[in-house]
Amino acid sequence: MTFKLSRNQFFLFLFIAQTGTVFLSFQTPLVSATGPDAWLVFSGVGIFHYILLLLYERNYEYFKPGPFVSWMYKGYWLLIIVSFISYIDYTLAVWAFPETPQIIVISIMVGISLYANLSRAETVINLSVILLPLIPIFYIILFLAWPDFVWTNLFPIAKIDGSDLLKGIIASQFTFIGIELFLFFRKHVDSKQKVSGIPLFIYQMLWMFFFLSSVLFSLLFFSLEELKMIPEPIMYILKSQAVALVERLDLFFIFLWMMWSVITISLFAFTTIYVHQLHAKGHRKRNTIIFHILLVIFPLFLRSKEHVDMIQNSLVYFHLFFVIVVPTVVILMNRRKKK
Amino acid sequence: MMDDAVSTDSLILYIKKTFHNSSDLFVEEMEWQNGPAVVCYFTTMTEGAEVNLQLELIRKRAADGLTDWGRTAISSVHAFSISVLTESISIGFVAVIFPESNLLLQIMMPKFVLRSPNEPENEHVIRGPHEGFVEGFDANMSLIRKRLAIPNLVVQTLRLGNDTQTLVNYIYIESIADEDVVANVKRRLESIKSNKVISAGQVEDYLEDSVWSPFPQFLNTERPDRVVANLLEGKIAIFTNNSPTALIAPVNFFSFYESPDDYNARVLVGSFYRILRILSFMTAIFLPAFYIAVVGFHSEILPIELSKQVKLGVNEIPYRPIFEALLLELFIELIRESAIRLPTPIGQTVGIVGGLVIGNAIVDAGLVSNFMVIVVAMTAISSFVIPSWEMNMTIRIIRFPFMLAASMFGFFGIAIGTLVLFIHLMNVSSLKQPYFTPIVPFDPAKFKDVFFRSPYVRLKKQQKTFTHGADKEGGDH
Repeated sequence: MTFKLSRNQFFLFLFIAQTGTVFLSFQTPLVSATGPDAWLVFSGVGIFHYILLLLYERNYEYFKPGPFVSWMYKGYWLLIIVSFISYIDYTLAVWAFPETPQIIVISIMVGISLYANLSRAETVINLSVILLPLIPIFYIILFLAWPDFVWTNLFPIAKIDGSDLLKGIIASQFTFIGIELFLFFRKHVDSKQKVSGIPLFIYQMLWMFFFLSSVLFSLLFFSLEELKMIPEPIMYILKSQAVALVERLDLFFIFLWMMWSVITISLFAFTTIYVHQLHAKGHRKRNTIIFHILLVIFPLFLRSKEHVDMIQNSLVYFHLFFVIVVPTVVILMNRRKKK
Repeated sequence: MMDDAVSTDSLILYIKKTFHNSSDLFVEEMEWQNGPAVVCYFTTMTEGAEVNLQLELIRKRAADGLTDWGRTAISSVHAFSISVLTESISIGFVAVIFPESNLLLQIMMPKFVLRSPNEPENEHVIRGPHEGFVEGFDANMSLIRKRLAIPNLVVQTLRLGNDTQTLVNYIYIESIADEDVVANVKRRLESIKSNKVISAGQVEDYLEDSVWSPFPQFLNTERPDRVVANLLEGKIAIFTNNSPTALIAPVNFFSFYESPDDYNARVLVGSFYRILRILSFMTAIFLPAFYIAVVGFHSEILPIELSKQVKLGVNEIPYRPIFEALLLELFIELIRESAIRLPTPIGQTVGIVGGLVIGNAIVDAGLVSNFMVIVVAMTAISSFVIPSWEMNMTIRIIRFPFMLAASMFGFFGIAIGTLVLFIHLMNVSSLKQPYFTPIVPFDPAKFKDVFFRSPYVRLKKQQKTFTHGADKEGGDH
């Protein structure tokens, strides 16, 4: 699979992979653990995210996973995709399709990913472009809630203990999911275009703005007690807004989020197949179809909200392993080999 | 020298037999200075008086002892062969056979009836030239050459179809067009192995990258100014003889939304209408699907007062909104199709009777709701805004799967349909070049031209590759 990315394509790819699915739900566990300090905790976590990006940028050339490590990553991404699909299916069942059989909704979503992944590599890479005009609309609608914001909800701060802080940091890790794709695709970025320095900082700022604003909106709009009972605070903010001729904006945005998530799934599926093809030459089409069949079958085993939550909660620990431990080991080994 | 046994009489008989004694075939023996000659041509394709004048001129050149007596601006001499003879006569040339010297004089003076180059019916403009192509390539080429007086304008000709011997010409500007694209067109045209090449549409089928895509990959136009503007952007125009339609490629999706009027109008006016047309793409595809989704699944998104009215209107209808929409859409398609086939005054009458009288009656009869009439009418008008007829038809067809998806899954169906459409648009290519550029691959410099008509003309070429950084534009400026 040969392709070349522009800097913008690369960052857009990374942004959508990191934001899809999780941006709707990570606020509640974060705020539950840290209260009004959530925004402060997330700001600190954002600095960690930037440090990670800087380290990745510095060492990506040494990240050359062998077949075993690749299989580990493939398994990890399969878990991510399955948990995303299960969560989307569950959310759609709550908000839109309580009666529709699970397999139909899942098959349709996975079918989109299959279609994209059977196309040329550039098609999947550029798929995120469709979201670009929709993201500003999403923000404009969220800002309609401005008059309802209670600014004192952001205070008091610095009231949490170490245990809550740790819980908050772990809850924030959902927003990091996908950052490891940086290591896999950085080498495909046009060498004439600079990534380190200002461009990377701008990416970090956009990531930070996106997630931090969603935490702030949730804190400002809901009281702490309300937030603990609302699994998708952003959707509820949208639900409370009305513009001319549209009474329920959330119904539009649940499908915008669904599109966003399907694209994220397609990107992860693309990454999995791409990494698989690095070691298994040929049969790309066959492997893509088999992988997508698995993507339809596995989420069917996660029938209840408890199952979905269990997988999602465990995902954070897998994530820490694959984002910090594995890259560190692979990079150090390759550095040593080079010496 | 031909076989002595082949006398002039037997040659004449043979020619007549070859053309099945067609009554418009003229075959006569005539005297030439070195012996007999046989002149033959179709009287329906060649002017007899003109033939006599040319023959006299060539006879005089031969009598004067010129070495190249048969070579003039419209004639040439070849070694005799049956295939050259039949081909020459079939395409409207005059053939003069000299049995003694085994030569064939070919005089190219076919006469065909051509209509005047009136403005095409389906590409009207308010300002700008009102000329259009006709059914003869020479006349069409003269309309282009008078606008492009440059030596770099190249015409290449092929004859396609064993039975039809259709002339297919492709033209481009050597210094601007991408040589890979030119070679690609040549290769594809040469690989057409059909016995019958009749129309531009047929050639288009052979040349397209994906024939099953609903999206046209060649811009069809009958306007010389449009062809010239595209040639100057490095594109290639393909003409099939006897057709006024030029096929232009490589093009992108947004080429179909541009009109010559944009550049003839004021900058702001041109830009406004260009944006309007792009928005019409949205309404033409999504409006009926959106209505079906709202009525069938998500009526709560409407304010309560409007929701009540919609519900009241829909409750009277004995079937689901999708059938209501399909009924009305098919009805509109019937009106449109009949209006095209009938003479203009009757076509207009059918439009009025169909649109107003039957439309009103169909609502009164309770077969469709007022809201659905509004939605379908707005959709139809939106699709007619598109300046390209073939894109118009594509958009009209694409809305049906969206309507079905909306009737089955509501907004979820529309969202999934949008993703499929978007992926498809990214996969489509026109002569192997990206169709959805400048959005994908994103080209910021050209992106603004999708929505705005720039106040000056800047010549641009089609994005060449799907991959970032790999030689974005072909050819030299």
